[in-house]
Amino acid sequence: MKANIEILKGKVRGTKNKGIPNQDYYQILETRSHLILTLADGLGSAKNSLTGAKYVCDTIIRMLKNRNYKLNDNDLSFDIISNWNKYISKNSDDISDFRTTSLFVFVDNNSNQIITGQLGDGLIAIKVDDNEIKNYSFAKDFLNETTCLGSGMNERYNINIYKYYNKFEILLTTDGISDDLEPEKIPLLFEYLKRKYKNLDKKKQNNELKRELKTSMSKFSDDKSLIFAWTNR
Amino acid sequence: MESLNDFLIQKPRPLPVIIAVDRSGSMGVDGKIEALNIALNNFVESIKEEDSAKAELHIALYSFGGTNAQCDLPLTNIEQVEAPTYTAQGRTPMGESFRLLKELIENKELIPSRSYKPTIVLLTDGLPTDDWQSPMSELINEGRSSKAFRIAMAIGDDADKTMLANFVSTPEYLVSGENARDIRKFFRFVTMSVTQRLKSQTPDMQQIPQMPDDDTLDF
Repeated sequence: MKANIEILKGKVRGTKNKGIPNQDYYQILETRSHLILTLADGLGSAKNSLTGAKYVCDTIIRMLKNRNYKLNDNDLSFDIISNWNKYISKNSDDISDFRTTSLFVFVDNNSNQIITGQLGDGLIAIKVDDNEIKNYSFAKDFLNETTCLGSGMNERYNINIYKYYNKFEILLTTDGISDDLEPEKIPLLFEYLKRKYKNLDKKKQNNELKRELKTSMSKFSDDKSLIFAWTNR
Repeated sequence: MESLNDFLIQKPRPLPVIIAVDRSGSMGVDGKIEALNIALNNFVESIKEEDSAKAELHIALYSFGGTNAQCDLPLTNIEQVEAPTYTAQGRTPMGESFRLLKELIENKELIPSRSYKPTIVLLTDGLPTDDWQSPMSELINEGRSSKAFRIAMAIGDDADKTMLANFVSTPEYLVSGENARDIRKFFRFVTMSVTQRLKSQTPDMQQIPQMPDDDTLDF
């Protein structure tokens, strides 16, 4: 992309029974003209949820890297969901075994447009230029509940579109982090992440983030994933 | 030194347990109210000994009898709970207690969304004497309160077991008993259920303990 973008990413497995992998998954694509961040959290109660999480991230990247894709809210949400459903149904009788949440951010450098999409819990927080941070998180009644792909209920992405002129900062996390984040401290978290990680090389950045995720939040047993992307001019 | 910890809520996640007990006149017969008072006290003291870094138990106590239902203890950290002592008298305004429970559970300031699902414990030996159908239906079918785990005890033949069978979230959560001894056994069951949730990796998955044997009781 035209701007110099830093991308910090890390995930750690929660405390759970042996043999159950980390069911969070992320995939990132950066080209000269766009940036696509995807993050998905497979449900603990669904035995193939990691596959479901991987496939939705693949689907989103495949669809959005075609720059001519018509980005209408309803079409985009519908197309991601139906693509995912079709693939899973071809490979299994029980789609509910693959249940997953899904977050994504698409930055199009040609149109200076940012599109965010959220289905299920977790957090997307975004700052464009010098505006205030906008946070989006799924409104839960209690812990451990969420809408998701594969549930057959309320499956629809919440899509938001922004215009940026000069710079942006984007944070995505799964609920293993967002459930315990103090909302009013999110702006300070942005500053902290930039300050701490900007001068580290890529490998050190991601290793240090992983270490922090492991040690800071060890008392809660969920898988935890975080992606933070910012323009570094 | 700064770390991610500085941006996180440090307190364990709340696990609310909301208890609603019958203190109507019939509970004054055959030592039932005395057994209830002992059982409640034992429950509170047993639970205080349990420890969890992940979840923090909050207890609320409601009762119905006389001419009203009331909150005897608002949602309180278990460390600070002292069980009240009840006396039995009057009618059975259970419907009003359902309304009060509903009000509590829908309140996101008292029970924030980072809480585990509440457990509701209901104990009665008779039929409700007020309008209970709509309040119960709203409690168990609508909003946040519909997601709570619901356990109930029916004491004696006068309790409406059909109503209570509809109330509980799974048939294994309806316990029937005849006498004072059974009340204390029921609260041992409640203690085990709550403790299992506290210690579990997945406190919001339904877990049904075994009813304790008579010879494990310590009175």
